[in-house]
Amino acid sequence: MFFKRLTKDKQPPAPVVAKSDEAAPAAAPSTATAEANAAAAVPALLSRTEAQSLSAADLRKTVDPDALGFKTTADLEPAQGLIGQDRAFKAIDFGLSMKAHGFNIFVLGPAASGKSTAVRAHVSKVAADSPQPDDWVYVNRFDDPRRPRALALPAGRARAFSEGVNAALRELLATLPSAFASEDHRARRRAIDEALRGSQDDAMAVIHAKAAQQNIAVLRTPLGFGMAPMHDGRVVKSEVFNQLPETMRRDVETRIAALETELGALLARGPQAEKDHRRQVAALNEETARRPIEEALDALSADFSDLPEVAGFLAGLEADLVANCEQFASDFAPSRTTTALQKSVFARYLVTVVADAGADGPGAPVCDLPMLPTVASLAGHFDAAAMARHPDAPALAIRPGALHRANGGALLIDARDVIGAPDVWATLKAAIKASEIRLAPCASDTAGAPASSGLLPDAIPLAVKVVLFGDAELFHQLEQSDPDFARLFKVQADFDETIARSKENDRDYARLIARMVEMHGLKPANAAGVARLIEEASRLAEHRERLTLEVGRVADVVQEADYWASEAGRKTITGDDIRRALDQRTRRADRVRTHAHDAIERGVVLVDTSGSKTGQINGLSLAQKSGFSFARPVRITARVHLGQGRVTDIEREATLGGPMHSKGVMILWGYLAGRFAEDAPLALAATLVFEQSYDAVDGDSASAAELFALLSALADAPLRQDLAVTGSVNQWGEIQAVGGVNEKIEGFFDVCAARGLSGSQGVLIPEANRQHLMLREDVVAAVREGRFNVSTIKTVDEGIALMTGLEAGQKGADGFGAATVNGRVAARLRAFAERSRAFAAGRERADAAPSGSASA
Amino acid sequence: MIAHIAHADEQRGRVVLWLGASGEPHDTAVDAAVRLAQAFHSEIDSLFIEDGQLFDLADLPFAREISLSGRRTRSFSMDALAQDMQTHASALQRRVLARAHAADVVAHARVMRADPVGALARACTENGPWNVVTVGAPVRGGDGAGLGGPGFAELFDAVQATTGIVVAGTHARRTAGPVIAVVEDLERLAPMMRAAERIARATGGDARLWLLDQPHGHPDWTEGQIRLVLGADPAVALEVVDMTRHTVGDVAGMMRSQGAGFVISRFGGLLTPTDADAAHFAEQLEGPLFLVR
Repeated sequence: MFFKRLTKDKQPPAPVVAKSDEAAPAAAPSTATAEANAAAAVPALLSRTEAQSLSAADLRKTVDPDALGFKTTADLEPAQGLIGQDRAFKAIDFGLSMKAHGFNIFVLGPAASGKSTAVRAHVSKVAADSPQPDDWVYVNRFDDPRRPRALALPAGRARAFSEGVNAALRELLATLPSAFASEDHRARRRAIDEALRGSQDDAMAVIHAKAAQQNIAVLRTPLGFGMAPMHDGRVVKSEVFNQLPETMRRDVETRIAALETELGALLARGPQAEKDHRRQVAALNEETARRPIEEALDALSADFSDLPEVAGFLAGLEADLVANCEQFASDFAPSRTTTALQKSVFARYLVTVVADAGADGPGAPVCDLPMLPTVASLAGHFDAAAMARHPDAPALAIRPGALHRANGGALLIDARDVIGAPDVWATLKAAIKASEIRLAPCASDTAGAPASSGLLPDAIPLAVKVVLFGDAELFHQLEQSDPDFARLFKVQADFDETIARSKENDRDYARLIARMVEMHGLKPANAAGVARLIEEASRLAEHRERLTLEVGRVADVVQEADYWASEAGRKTITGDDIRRALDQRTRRADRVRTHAHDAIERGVVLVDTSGSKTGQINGLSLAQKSGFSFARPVRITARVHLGQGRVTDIEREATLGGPMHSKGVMILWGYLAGRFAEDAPLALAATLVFEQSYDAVDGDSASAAELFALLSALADAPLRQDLAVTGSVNQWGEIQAVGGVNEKIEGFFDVCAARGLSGSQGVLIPEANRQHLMLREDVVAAVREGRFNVSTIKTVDEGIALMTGLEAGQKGADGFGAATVNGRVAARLRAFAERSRAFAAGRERADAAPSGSASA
Repeated sequence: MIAHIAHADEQRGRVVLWLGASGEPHDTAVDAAVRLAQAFHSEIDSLFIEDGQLFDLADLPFAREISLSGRRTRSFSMDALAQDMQTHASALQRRVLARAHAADVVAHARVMRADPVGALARACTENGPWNVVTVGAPVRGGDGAGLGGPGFAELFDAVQATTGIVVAGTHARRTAGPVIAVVEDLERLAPMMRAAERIARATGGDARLWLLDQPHGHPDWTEGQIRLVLGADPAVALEVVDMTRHTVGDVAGMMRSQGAGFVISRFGGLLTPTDADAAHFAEQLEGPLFLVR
């Protein structure tokens, strides 16, 4: 979205202010004090009374390609990492070496500065020389499956341990069924079964035989057994039995009762016999299974006998396998794949590796938190699908998070990613505070309760150095909003946005460009190309004596220049290619600028670039769109009239003005009051307008222009329209630095150039902004040829003198002098005051004198 | 043989499943009945036989019943027995009908109070000449036929309208697997082979012929004749078992090791000459034993 601003966000460099300012009271000083301060300030302010016209050399600090000392970047050793960031890297080294709790690192610096890449490389280098941390695995507790157990192994051994267990289980998949299917086992099992049944059958046979000898039948009923006298192999019918003699019937009943007692006793022994049978079967199964289980695990147990915890687990695994061997004897087919193992009854014995530092090479691990982080991706979790498949083997459902992978090393996190996810941030803090990793539960199942609820896996000790990347704004936001932040991130690695220009740094910058060329596989840049890039880096830094460290933006230019070099059939990137790349970038992005300038050219937006007018001045507004900044002139007008002492900021009244702009306007009033209202109140009312401005306006960089317009209106002194002004003003009349000075000058230059440069046109800028000048080459050329001007001013007086062609006027014993601008302002204000007094006293109605006009 | 396919207007016979010989039916025996019905497109006649002698027992003045646990004895009356029988029969029949329904086999359930042999003979006669009797109770060796009453010989003798008797030993646990027809002579080769093939199609296994090389026999000639019948590209594998070197127990062991399902054998032959031998052989198998005449 397009929006208009008068200053950039960045704070302009501190203006050159006389030290006496520090002694000035913050509140409105008394007249005596103000005079004293003004007197103290005067020597500094009045040491120069005229605006300084700048030479072409002042407008752009160029780099001599011949002075760089190389032909192309191929001759250079590419820079490793960033340049000029020693302080930040020392802070990182300090943070990495501090073992105490909370010495995590916040890396703050501008975006696209290459700091993430450089810090990652630096941390990785440090980590490579650090000892490897332990590996960690999760296994199931056989006595309590709800509490998966975490085991530490020396670096590099977790994978071997896991694969060893897998191999042993795969072997058992084949050998256990074979053992149970062996003829030996089956024969012995049959014998045991036979013994049970045989003993029962034999006993039954005995009873049957005894009964048969006594002509008694033993019959099976639906619910048991019954006995009856038998004759010729058939049960004697009751009518026959009842006809038998009494003694015979009693005899039969007695014998049947005895046999029933015997049979009852035999049947009663059945459960015990079956219990014995089960015990024997279990013993046989154990015996059958023990040998293959021991054979499968012996080598693994020997390999890890030096680790008591692991050896304990293996012993438990062996015991559990033996105890449950019967269920492994059938219902699965031998398989060689881990997937098949996971589907088998062996799943609960499998090992889940959550930290395997050795997998990524020597040294401590360095990991990035994935984009769009979640609590699960940070701290690990239980996989819901795996939990559903293996409810008795929760360890198999554990998935590690970034903390597991980074444990013992460093975890690199983009602060914006975690701040935007409060639960992730809270989890990270909790882990750092407790120095342990606790797994996140898995997602809720359909019933709403997490499938992993009730699980209590061991926490894993955490020893990680967290490196957060962000900018200063985010850092301060965290510092103010989160009391834990300062305790947990005690180390700040503050990356500079710029470095000073010097021969040495220019050369280092060339090596940095060589690094970009190498990293992106580009054509080498020749010295002229590098020189042009260094100049661009200085312009991006908005300072002729500094170079930007936002290397990403420079790298973009180099890559585009490489394209244009290819288009031109060149094997090296030249200055022309850099220039073309910059021009093309501007052309791609300047649709809005073109429209704005077209509107001025066609007279839709009224901007004068010649002549002079009272109460009207050319200000310069800065706009940004998608990272592209440009400026255009804007007409500012002022009108004054008798009133109660108020400057009406039309932008503010229309809610288009931001607070910074309003502040600037209010400062004007302070200046006027301090300079001209020593003896009488300001019976003045004034209105200030950004004409034809319909966007939001903020910043105070137009306050000098507004003041000039106001003074012009009061003094009825026309202002030059071939000049534009930028700069802020303080109550003492000092002109202060603003941002975007290059774009502002270029913005007015473009409008003037389109109409034809007259030679008198130019821009007034604060003297404090001289150091920021890195103007376009065409502007510099125009100045060199006397077709355009750039002047610096330190005070309001310098500016108003140049703008009006009149002497500003210094206050003497008789005032400012009638012919000076300030003298005419003072006279007008006195007139307003007198009319106001007269009006108040009711003596006469003030003449309807014209109050000044901003328009021709 | 049951391999006979009845004409549309001919009574085609059924698989007569004999229930009631003991407390619980053998699952493999019930499954065998279902598989046979599938193999021969037949129906199941699930016959719960209430042994009449039990009612004679219950009618005695001192009749008592000892529970299966041996810890409880109760007076035994005809009414109580009838009630128990009805409950027991209902439970068993329900299981059989459900199993048959699941296999898309038509099954009929009925209860008869009679002498078991007589009841089976009557049921088979009603169904036509091509019946197979499946014994629902597990068969075990050591007490004759293990049927808790009649032996196989008696059954074959009394139940003329049956072509075979299927029994399942106590170790029987599957009907799937190779169907092995044990042949000792050429006379029964064709019907036994056809029966094996049809059963194999129903159980998903393959049909095999085992020729028993008998002492004093003409094994080479017999084998040659069988191979002639099988043709050049036989669908049925033939193996010759040298009975001069193996016992019946060895043969049962080989069948187990081959995972045999149904085993078809002639009652009165080398492997199953008597009731006791047949019961003992059946008990050593892991699938049902189909005894044919």
